Amino acid sequence: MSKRRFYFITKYFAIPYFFILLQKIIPWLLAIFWLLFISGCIDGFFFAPIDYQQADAVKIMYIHVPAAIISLFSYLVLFVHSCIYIIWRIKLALLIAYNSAILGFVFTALTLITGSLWGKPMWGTWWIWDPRLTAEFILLCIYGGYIMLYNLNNISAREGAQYLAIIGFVNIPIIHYSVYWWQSLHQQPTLFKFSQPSITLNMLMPLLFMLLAFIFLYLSLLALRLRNNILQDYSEHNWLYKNLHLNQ
Amino acid sequence: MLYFEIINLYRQRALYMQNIACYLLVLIIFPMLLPVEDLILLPKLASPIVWFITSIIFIFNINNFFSAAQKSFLSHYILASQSLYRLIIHKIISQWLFCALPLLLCLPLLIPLYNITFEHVIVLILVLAMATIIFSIIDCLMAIIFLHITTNNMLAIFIVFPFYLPIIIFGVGVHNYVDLVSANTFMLNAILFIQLPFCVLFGKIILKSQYNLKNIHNI
Repeated sequence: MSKRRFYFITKYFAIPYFFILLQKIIPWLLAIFWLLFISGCIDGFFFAPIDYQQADAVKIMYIHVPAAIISLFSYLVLFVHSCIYIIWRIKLALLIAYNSAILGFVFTALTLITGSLWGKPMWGTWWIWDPRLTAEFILLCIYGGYIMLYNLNNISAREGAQYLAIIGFVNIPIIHYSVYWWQSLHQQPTLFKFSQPSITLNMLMPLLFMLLAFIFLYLSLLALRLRNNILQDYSEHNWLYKNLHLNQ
Repeated sequence: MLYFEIINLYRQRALYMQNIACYLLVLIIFPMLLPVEDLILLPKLASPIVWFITSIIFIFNINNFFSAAQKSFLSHYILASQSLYRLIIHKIISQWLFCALPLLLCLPLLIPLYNITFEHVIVLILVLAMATIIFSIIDCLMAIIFLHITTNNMLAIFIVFPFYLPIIIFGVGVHNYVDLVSANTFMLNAILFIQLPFCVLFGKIILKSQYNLKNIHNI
């Protein structure tokens, strides 16, 4: 009974099955991403109204907010797969965690860069040691530390990197609630709160489009990286050639 | 057990003396580097400088937590089914005694060197005492993660410093007796009391897992 109950987990983490799944979903993920991204860009940059205080600078929001949400989401993926690896020792979970960390690093850097570009005209400074900004910077360092530790190519270092990811998860609620807990220059959440979103519908729609586009971008990049890793690591295996319709 | 830990660290006292020497050198040399017209800034710079050097010393101290001699001792300890919780707590206490306490005792030097008040030094000692315990806890956890890895200090800085940042930010905000009952100090207290049980529990799990890995893969 217990074997049957966890059958979907073992099936999901079986690398040949996962590789076939990746081959099937990558074109769809990329197609949906481009569709959402183009419509979000057109709606956001050409049709959405400008802010009465921030003028055109508000358009950075359509990149900054989705990138920030994805930077947290990829850490969640990293955390969950690190836990799975620590508990069940599944190699695919390790691959997903590592690739998620690399994407998380890129999205966090993008968040900090776009935030800095937005901060200069609005706050008058590129950077300030504000709680939200500091917590996001700490997230970038944790991603960087995880990647460096993982790449030491030592089984103990890889194990340590997973524990580091689990310890670093404490930073995620701090990032989200920092604007409530401390006096912060950064504004409070607009989308992810218990009450209605405090943004007009004309601006909300392109923001949601861009958010969905970034989610699909993250998923497609993750899938592409995983496929490449599997191709590298399992190049000697017969099942890989069979699935690629090639003769070994 | 704590006694043996202290004896063990006493044998490596040269390492800790090096820390103190480095700390004193920076404290003494820094006022000499400032131009005479900027000496008025010294009292304001004292606290950030002390925080900065202390955090750097603690980061470089990570490799001393489980030195080569202690790793073999660790396997004996695990084989004898001794409590790993106790081991972690004793490590934190002994490291704090050898690494933080001498630095705190040197702080009164700031009164003549940086022209600051006695009140300021007392507040700095109290807040640093609390913060260095938190640093020791973080160091202990990271040292367990790095147990079988020959780390370079660059990697340690990159991984550990982010965890120090909030503590430094809260700590630097405390300037006088009034600040001692402010939100910054309460945050430091909260971090300390949440972190200690978490570190001990989680540290034991990682230590056991790293030890098992060593046996399986013969690292």
